[in-house]
Amino acid sequence: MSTEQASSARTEGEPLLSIENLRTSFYTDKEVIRAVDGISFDIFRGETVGIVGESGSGKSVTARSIMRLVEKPGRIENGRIMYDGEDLLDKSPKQMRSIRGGSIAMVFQDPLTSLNPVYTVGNQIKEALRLHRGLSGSKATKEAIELLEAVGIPDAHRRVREYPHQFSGGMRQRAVIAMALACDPELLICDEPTTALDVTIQAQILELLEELQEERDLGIMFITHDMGVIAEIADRVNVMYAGEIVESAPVVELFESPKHPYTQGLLNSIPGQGLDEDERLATIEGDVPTPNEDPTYCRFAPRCPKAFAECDTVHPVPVDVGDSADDHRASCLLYPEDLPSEEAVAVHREGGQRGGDTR
Amino acid sequence: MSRWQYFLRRVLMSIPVVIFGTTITFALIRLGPLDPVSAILGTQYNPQAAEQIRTNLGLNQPLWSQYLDFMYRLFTFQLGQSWVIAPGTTAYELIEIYAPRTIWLGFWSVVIALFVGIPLGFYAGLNPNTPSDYVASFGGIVWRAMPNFWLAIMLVTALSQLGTWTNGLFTWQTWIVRTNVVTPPALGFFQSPVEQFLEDPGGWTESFIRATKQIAPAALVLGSASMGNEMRIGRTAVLETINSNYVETARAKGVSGRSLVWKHIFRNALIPLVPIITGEAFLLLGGSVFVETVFAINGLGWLFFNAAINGDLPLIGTLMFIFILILVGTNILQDFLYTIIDPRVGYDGGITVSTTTETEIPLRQRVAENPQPALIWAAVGAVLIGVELGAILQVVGAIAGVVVNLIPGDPGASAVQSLQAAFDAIPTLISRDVIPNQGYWNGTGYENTFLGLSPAVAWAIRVAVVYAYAFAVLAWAWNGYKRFRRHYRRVDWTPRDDVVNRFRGHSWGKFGLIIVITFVVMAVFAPTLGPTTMEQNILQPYDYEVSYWSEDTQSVETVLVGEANLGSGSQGAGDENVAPLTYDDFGRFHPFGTATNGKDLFTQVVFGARISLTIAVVAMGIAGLIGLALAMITAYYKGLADLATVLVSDSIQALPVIMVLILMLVIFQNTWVRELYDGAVLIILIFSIVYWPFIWRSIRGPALQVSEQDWIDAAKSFGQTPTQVMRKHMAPYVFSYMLIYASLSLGGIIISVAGLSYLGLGITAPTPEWGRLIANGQQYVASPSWHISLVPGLLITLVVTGLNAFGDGIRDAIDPQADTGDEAAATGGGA
Ligand SMILES: Nc1ncnc2c1ncn2[C@@H]1O[C@H](COP(=O)(O)OP(=O)(O)OP(=O)(O)O)[C@@H](O)[C@H]1O
Ligand code: SF4
Ligand SMILES: [Mg+2]
Repeated sequence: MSTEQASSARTEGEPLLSIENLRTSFYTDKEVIRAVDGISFDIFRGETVGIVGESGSGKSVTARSIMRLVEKPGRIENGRIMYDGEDLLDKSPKQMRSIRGGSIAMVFQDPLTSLNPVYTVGNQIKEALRLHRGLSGSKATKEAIELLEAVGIPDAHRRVREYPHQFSGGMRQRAVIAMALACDPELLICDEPTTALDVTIQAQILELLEELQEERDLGIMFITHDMGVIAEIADRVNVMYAGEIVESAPVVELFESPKHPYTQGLLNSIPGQGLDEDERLATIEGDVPTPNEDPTYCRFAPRCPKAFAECDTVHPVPVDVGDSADDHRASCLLYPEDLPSEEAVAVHREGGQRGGDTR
Repeated sequence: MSRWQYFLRRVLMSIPVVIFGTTITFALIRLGPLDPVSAILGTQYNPQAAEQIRTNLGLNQPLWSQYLDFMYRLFTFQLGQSWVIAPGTTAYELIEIYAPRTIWLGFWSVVIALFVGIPLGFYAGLNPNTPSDYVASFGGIVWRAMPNFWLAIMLVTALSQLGTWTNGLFTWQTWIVRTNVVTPPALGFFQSPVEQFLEDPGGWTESFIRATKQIAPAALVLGSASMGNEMRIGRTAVLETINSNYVETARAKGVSGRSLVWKHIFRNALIPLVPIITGEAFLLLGGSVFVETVFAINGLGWLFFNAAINGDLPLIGTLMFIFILILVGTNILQDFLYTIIDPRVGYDGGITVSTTTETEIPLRQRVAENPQPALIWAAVGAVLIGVELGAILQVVGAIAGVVVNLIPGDPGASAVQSLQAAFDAIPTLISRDVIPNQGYWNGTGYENTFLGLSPAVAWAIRVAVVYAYAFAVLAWAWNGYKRFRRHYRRVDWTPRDDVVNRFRGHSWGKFGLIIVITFVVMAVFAPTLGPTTMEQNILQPYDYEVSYWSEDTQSVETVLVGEANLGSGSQGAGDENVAPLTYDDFGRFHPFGTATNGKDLFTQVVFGARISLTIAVVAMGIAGLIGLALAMITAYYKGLADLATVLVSDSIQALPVIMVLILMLVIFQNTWVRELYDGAVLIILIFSIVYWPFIWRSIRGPALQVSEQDWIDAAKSFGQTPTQVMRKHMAPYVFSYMLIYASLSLGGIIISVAGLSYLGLGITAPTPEWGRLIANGQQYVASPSWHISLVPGLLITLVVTGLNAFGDGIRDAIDPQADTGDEAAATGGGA
């Protein structure tokens, strides 16, 4: 998808998926982990929204929350997940089942283990076809073969009867994607679909996803921690840190002028993004903190090179970074850029007080 | 290779296995020191008759022709006849009489195991970490740690006593249909069942119910081990599949709960259950010897046992052949099930090996740079060792004594003895002399006891001090490791740290470790822990005297220990019983009561712990070394070496373990090896021979994997010799896998040894052994002297539970993804 096309989609009409103030927590024996803590973003038809962030920042939990696949001891505590104008969080388990795989499909990280080893690939695709489209028998087989062909598996007639272990890694991921596409979903959630694959196959899979998106006008939510992959596939990027979205911008804008100190750090840590030697953070030092309490400060402050006194007492909220940039928000007390520091902090202080729980 | 090709290959492989297994049997019975002729003639032995029989039986033929004859007959199913236990009866007739009972028993125990074990396991797996899961899991683990023969004894007693206990409300014997508790099942209704049923439906049904009721308790016991295994594996398998990515994918596809459970979870969870289910055949065959003996079900196991102890060679050979056929058949069935159920069969998926190497550290230098932590640690160690120096040297002396004893002619025996005497003289903190308990009441107070306390309290203090000391030493050792890690190790992290950390986070494994330590301490400090000594109380009771306060004469009297023992036996009735934690008439304190012959049970139990643990550890050590060495060789050279080892090990594994153990013990009964350490040495040797194939099998995969790694080629290209490569680059990696298997098998060996001793074949008197103690108290379980059988059985259950838990911990620590070890190994082949 070209960027113009996507941004035009953005301006017209309703988003396909709209997440508002989502919070998902895990009640472990030791503490309550707010794996996702008050995030909001939209996905439009035909658009690819990338989610990036370090390990443990809450990307997978976001995906699972959308699918309502969060398991004990996790709980979706707050927020709305609006899909086609309806809140997924109000759906019954049965309604949810027909949405899963039917309207929203998901591709997981590890293609080697995402397929059940004791059933043929065809069987597993047909299972989805039966569940959502009521197809069975030779019709379903024919459809499954077509799907395998659509994702570029050669000799699909034969392959449809083979078991997962007879497929190579890249082919398995194609099969998983075929399975996800079986029921013509409108939204495809990909949780690091290429991480387990080697680079050339990774590129092929990305290409495949782009083609499919163009054909079917899919909305794609693409999770990764690889900035390179994001640059290649996303139209818009949300950067997650410790359960929060710290920056959100169109992909070109984000790479050209990252605003949040964390994003800047992330980009600097990619080799080849030349910056001045002393400005450079080879890698961002320290680890992602575990978000286990109501935030009253900036969670990035301990690692932030630009942190100042207020960072420990005021919780930054997403604000437009400045007048010039279009649709570019960051959660950092340094912004809005065009305000003097005190006023900017005041914006965040107020914003933080206004936000309330919806459920 | 396609699945069915693979299956076909497995079937073809089984032919040489049967031939080889039968050959081993022939070698055992004909090359061993057992003389069939004297077995036949028994007491009426005379040379002429012997010669006559020899010619008749073809025993004068050359061995190879005997061998060919033996094989030819068996493979053409000319099964011959019995020589000794039922002379002249053909094997066919005997089998016709005995086999149906065993089949009936096996059928019901499989039913119980399958239909209780698997559903319980699946249920627990679907509801992990709930109270019902804990009850089911823990119950299953303890259940399978109980020796079959002991469980059988307890069950027989409980069923016989139910009427008395419930005041006649419920008696097992009269419940539904009248039966005895201990009886062979009446299976007459099986001959032409249809006609009989049509003739007299009510009567036939009653016979069916009667036969079922007669077999039910035995089946419950026999099925117990498999049931526990199936539960455990079922549970982990379900847990694993639930958390697998493909179940997640299925969920994301919108698959509903029920279809998820049945199609995606249970189906996959069945795969690891296949070997457990077919492995039941081994447990059933082995266990039948014990269960049939206790429940007086005259089945095949019982027949084999009797044939073996009476030296009925042709019958032994025939039965062995049949057992081999059954087991090989089961293996084929297992492969068949696998082929149907798991499409990956025959596919060699590449599994990645983590490439971790550790750096050598010149430790001494590091210590010299920062000596303080090491010095503190060493000082504490010196104190700990110093207070026990005498005891440590005594152990050295004792080992020297054993070694000298083993060498024919006992060279240097006197030197060793004087050495031992010198060591004995060194005082130690926790010796019997420092905290003595063998005193007596003199009318006003205790004499010769620690601080004048009562013998019971003095003994308890000594036990407490011993354990405190042992745990202090362990804490010290652990502290040393931590100091080393913090101050002296060059690298902050090694892969082994992860193993240690994972184990520390494994509460079940730590629970096992604590139990294991408790028993190891018991074994190591056995002489100190007993309220009396082996020498005085058990070995030479008539060489020692004991003083006691006599109520009759109101004075302190002296009596020989042997005579005192005669008056302190536990034989059921009230005044002929010394219960746990009581004194006998001679003022001697008995923590676990006395055995039937009046000897102290606790003393015997702690020495029993010593022999059981020694046998288990040494046998596993030897078997492990053989297995490891072979694994190295077969992985390095592959090809023919591998094929030959596969053949031999498959053949040994196709033999019913318990039967082979019985047979070998019988064969070597009157040899000098049998005399060593009251049979322990022989048992260790036999176990090593029987167990190495299991170890080799379990580490063959990892060994092959590691041999394909690049660093092996690199090592070869540096010009390292094959032995160097094997030792330095392959063995360390494979070793941890061996450790997993070995630790999971220790419990099984302990149960087997106890079972064999129960049958009178294992460890013989005077060395105390748990299984023999159980046999000793068997007839008193329902009487006040219940402790004799109960205590050793509980201890076996406890230590085996501990060892299995510890093994689980080690497995999960070393390799979180490891397959669950061989479950059959952890249950002692059915003993
Ligand atoms: N089942 C669970 N129980 C407890 N905590 C959980 C669970 N699942 C996730 N979490 C917590 O949620 C946080 C976010 O996890 P998540 O899997 O979303 O990370 P991620 O961004 O996808 O990381 P990665 O790149 O490694 O996949 C983690 O720090 C973890 O502590
Ligand atoms: S709010 Fe402060 S600490 Fe947080 S990112 Fe901005 S400058 Fe850094
Ligand atoms: Mg993730």
